[in-house]
Amino acid sequence: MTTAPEAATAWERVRAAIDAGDPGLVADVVTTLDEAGRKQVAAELPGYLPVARQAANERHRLAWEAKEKADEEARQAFVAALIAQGWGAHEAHHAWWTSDEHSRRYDSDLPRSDVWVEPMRVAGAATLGGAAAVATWLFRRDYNLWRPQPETGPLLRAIAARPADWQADLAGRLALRLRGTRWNDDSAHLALQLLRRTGTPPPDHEPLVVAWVSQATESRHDGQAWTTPLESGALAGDPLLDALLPAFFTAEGVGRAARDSATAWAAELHRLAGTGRLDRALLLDGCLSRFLRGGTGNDLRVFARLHDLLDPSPEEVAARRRDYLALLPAAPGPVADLALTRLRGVGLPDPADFAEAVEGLLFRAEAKLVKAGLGWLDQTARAAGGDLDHLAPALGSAFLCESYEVRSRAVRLAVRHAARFTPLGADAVRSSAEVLPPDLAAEIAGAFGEVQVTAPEDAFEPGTLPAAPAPAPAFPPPAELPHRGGLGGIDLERWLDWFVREGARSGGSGLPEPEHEYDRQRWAELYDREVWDQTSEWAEAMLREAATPGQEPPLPAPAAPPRPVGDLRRSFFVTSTDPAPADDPASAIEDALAPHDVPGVRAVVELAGEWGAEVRRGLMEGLEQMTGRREQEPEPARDRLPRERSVSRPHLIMLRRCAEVHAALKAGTLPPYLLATPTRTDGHLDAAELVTRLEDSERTGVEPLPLDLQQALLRLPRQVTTEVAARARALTSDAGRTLAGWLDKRPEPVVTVDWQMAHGWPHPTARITAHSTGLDLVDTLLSDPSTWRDHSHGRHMESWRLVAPTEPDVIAAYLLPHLVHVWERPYVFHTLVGELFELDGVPGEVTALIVAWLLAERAMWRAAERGTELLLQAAASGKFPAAECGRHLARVLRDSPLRPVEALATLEAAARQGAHREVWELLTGFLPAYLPGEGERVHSGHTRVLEFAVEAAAWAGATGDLPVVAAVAGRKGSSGYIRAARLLHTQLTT
Amino acid sequence: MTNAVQAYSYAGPSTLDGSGLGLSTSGGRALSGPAAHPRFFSGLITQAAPAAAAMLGLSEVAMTRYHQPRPGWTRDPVVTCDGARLRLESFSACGGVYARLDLDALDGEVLDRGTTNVDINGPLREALARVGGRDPLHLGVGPDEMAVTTLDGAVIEKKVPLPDRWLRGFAEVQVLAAGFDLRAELAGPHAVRFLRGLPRKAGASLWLAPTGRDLRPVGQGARGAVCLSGVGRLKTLHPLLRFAKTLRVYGPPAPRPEEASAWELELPGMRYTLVLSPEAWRGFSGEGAVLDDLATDEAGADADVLGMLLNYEPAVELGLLAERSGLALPRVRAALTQLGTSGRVGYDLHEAAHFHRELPYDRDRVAELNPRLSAARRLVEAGAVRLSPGQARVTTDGGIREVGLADGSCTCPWWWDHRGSRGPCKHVLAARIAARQTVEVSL
Repeated sequence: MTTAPEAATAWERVRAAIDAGDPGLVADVVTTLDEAGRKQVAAELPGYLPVARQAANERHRLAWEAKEKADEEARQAFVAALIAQGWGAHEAHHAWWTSDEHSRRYDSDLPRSDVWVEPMRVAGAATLGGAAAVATWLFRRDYNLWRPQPETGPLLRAIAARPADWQADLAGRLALRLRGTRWNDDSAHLALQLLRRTGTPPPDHEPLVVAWVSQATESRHDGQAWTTPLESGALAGDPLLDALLPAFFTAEGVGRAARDSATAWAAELHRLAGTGRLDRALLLDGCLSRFLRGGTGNDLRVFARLHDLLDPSPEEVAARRRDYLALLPAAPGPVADLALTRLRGVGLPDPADFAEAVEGLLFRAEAKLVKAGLGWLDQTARAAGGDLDHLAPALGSAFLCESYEVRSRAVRLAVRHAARFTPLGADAVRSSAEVLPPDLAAEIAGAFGEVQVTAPEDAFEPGTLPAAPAPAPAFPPPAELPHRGGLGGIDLERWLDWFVREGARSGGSGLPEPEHEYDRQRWAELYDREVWDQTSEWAEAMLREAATPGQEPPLPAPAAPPRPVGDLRRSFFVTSTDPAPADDPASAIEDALAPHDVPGVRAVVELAGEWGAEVRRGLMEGLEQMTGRREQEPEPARDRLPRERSVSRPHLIMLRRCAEVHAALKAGTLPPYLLATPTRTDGHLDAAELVTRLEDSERTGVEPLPLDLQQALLRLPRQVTTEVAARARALTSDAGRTLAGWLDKRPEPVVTVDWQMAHGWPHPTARITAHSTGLDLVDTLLSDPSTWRDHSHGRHMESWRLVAPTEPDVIAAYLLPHLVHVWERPYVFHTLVGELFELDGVPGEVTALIVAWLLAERAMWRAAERGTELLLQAAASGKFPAAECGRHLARVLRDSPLRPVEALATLEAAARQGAHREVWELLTGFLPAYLPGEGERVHSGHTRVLEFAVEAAAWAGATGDLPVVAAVAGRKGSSGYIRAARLLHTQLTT
Repeated sequence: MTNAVQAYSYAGPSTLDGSGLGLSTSGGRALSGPAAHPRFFSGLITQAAPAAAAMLGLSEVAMTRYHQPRPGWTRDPVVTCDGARLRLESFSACGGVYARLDLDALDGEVLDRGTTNVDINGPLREALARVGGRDPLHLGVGPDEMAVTTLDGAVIEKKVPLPDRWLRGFAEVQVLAAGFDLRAELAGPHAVRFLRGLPRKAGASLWLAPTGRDLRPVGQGARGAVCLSGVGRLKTLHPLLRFAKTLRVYGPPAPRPEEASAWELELPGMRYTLVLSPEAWRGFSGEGAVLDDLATDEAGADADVLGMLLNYEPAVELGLLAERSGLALPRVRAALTQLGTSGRVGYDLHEAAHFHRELPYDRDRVAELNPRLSAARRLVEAGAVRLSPGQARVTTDGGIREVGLADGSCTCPWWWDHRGSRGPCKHVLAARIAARQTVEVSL
């Protein structure tokens, strides 16, 4: 730091202090200036703003660069030291990021780039002429005060050196600058501090009051502990207390600012009233006045607490009876409640007041208040003579209360006093009874005459279901399609068909150069990639092979050295959907590795505890191989296909077929066409067409490709004509016999769901059981799907149904692992599930589960509408396993965070759009599984479900008893749950 | 965006003591001309309790920012006296909720007709909350004679920012509402049940369609449905439910993904209406509802003609207006849109009719809210338009624009971009205004 010599001018000294970035030093200098010096500084300051900022930024930049350099050197030294100890390079680098050294350096402080701000403000506050100019100067936009300056002491010191009336002027101006929306600078603190120091009466400005209230709960360190002015008792000595307290009850925003400190505020104000420091009447009147002005329950919390603590005496309440009375009809629940309590204490001697209170209470939505109103109503009715017609509207509003108990009490009351209503009054009661449930309406009807029950008010008009899907159109002719953007579904089949028929022979229309640099690089590296997990890569390879045979270099031999643990650890960072509990794998791994002292093992062992069983098994195998406990398995023939577990199986099947064509091309055994090319766009392959293709290949002596044949079989319809079957039996080749065998006894996979929970979240997994066919591709597809799922799974999902177009539930089994991972599955997921209903086969349990989940899910955009559309599509197909879906929906709602209210909304929307029968059928599966069993608590969701079932049963015209409903209906009691069950039971059985 | 400031100047605070409610007025226009503190009405409100509760609702709307709530500026309600009723309007601070009370339950003397601001303050709100059903309530809009004579400079001044966005929304909500149809009508008890059954979450949005005597949630954009966006914005209806006779719901004819809606509560002797913007975070300004009508070149001049014919009538009758002005009905409608955007007419959904009121804000400023038309007028005033048969050349800072008068084409980049899809550009508008002026002059 440089200090200016004594002989320097005022500005030079101030500038040196500013450059030093020390506000305290600036305050020292500016407070010693004479009038001329101040003027000189004031004239120079504005021009110095950009200079000061630039200099500070430059200092900050240099410091940052120096830190970066030092960090890098430290990192290199750290890594080198670990490598010297025998660590792998990757492991050592990884260790740096979690090291103490790294975090210590990361947290280290740099000089702030805004160090110039506070010195400039201090200098301006002490030297600029008018208070208005200083008020503007302190909050210039140039300062970008996005975080409060750490210390306002120097600033206050500089201001304190100015004349008293000038300070008072500034205090008032700063207070009036406050807004309810700016909290990130120190303006509130400064304004309040100046007001306190100067003793200036605070201006009438609501944001100032809110700032004062907020500041009283800000924690500060008082030398011994962290405390707030409220807790430390400092409020009593606050010179602003008396001036701002009346506005505490009137300023908008105070309740909100004191929401989280309501208890502390109420306690402190109550304490001060107890000591006589504050006027109790002022507080009480303030609370009432605030209640009358309205606000939400949360915003009034602090006042309600204070009111309760003040605990007004009956005399105090009686004097404010009118105010309490005015709170009954419209104040937020808790406030009306406290008003009711107080009024009960003092009574309402004036009958007019009493009637008003009754009316106010009966119109409330809260059961508790309505109940109180009914009590008072009864009292009035007993006390007063004459007719009770004037009470009819109030009774009518009590009929609207949501609580059945309150409504039945209102009905009992009306019936008790029925004789006291004139025909006119009775009419009023009767017409308001229309909103009552049928049983209560009947009670009113008994005493007052017929009541029009509103049950048939829901004029349900079933919509029309969408038309059942038309048969898929014929498969389009082969075509050379652009493949580099990815080939899937129908496009892949068309392209393969084209390639085998023409492309392989003509080489296609040549391979154009990719346009973009990224693409160019990607395709240039095709042969460098060991695994081709995209259809486009295989298509590119086939085209290249056709254009220049033999251009693909042989795959390099696998890398021999054992993998270091560091790599092993990284390679197991995958998401497992397997939630099976651990049987202490960590110690098993530790034992296995104990003799080898491999660095990093500890971390692997710790991590392994959190992984699924399958991952751990894989890890164990890897470690055992590495440590020589297990023979290295022979490397399988290398073919660029991804390993079975690393992609979804339908995707793998697509890739394997591509690989088969590719291999046949290289071997020169490519058939003239493929067997598996579908005849319809839904993947369906006409059996007669397949027989014709096989007859043709027998005639020409062409050997079909095995996977191609198996895929063709998977695409055959379930039913074939006897004539086609006879033709198939007449085939003599191996392929022909395989076809005949398939038609004779095709596998019938059974797909089931295994429902498991992990970390409070459901992990349903599918199991596929089918007899072995000896056909590799078929058996692969029809075996349990992997419980794994990571980012490489789920590709080409839209093409999967083409792999097995007669097995919707098998495809659903492969979709299932993606179901609960909402954010990672494709947006078209709903559509893909809907398409399963268009396939040849019948969707089963897994599809039902997926639909059930999607009905209730709301995570994505338009989820509700898409759930409804899915249900409608399923209903329209005529193949919807509705009851099964209901059973799974119950499970989903019981075991996942998905909520019944959302599911019911979807069901109602679908019912109104034509799926009402399916919705009722779904409910017949849902209710037995969802309603609470022995020992389970009933909650409002159960009641809501039954109420909906009443409606749905009516819409579907359902009859026939449901045992679970009958059991609930037979119980004693009058809870909403039991009443709804009774209603449903009656409706179904009469 | 410019942020002008509105300065209210009241002779004293509005007060309610005993049974007298005195609403202080500030500025505005009356039949008798502009006035600092106009006096409109003196007499009784025959339904005191619902009127007081509805006024509290209005003041709450004016004070609230429904989107990202926080305390801020409050703009005072606007009162229009049309001789038959008082209409009190307020517009939320977020610019997304419009509230109006049409007060018919009046018995007294109409002193003048016109529009003004009225002061609503904290003590008045407290007093309004205390109003019970049994007391008659005397109402005076404007300083009473005693006060006028004893005024000794007791003036209350309030200054609040008046953003363009807010002012334009306030004006344009009328134009938007004029396109609404009645979607549902619920009797009192059903209205109560419906409103109490709405989701608690203030930000919740749902589509509702009438089924039987109720309104029920339906899928987005269903036929005949209304969009209720931000359930919490209906909060001011709840305290009024105990007086409710009917709830009517209005919405635009062809629903889009989000829509505005109007909620009208019929109370004894009055109606309380809320209009909600399509989404809680969107205000009404910039909804673009007005551009179609404004694009007609006559609208400006027609609006001037109609503006002179308006007389603070309770309901503007289109036929009568067409007859008096000699304009065809479509032109009258377009001109009313124009008047709506400049804050000179409001729209009453229940009567399906416009009513005359002049928003008591700086008149030039309100007129400027349609920047394209204002820019065109400035061009004409600056003599930038030179007419030749069938064509016009408009000189601007960016060069000379050639305007084809017949097809409304222009050589400016804006027209090039939009090709009339957003109405004529300012040059075409200017050329048409100038052409009309030439005809008038030569006549």
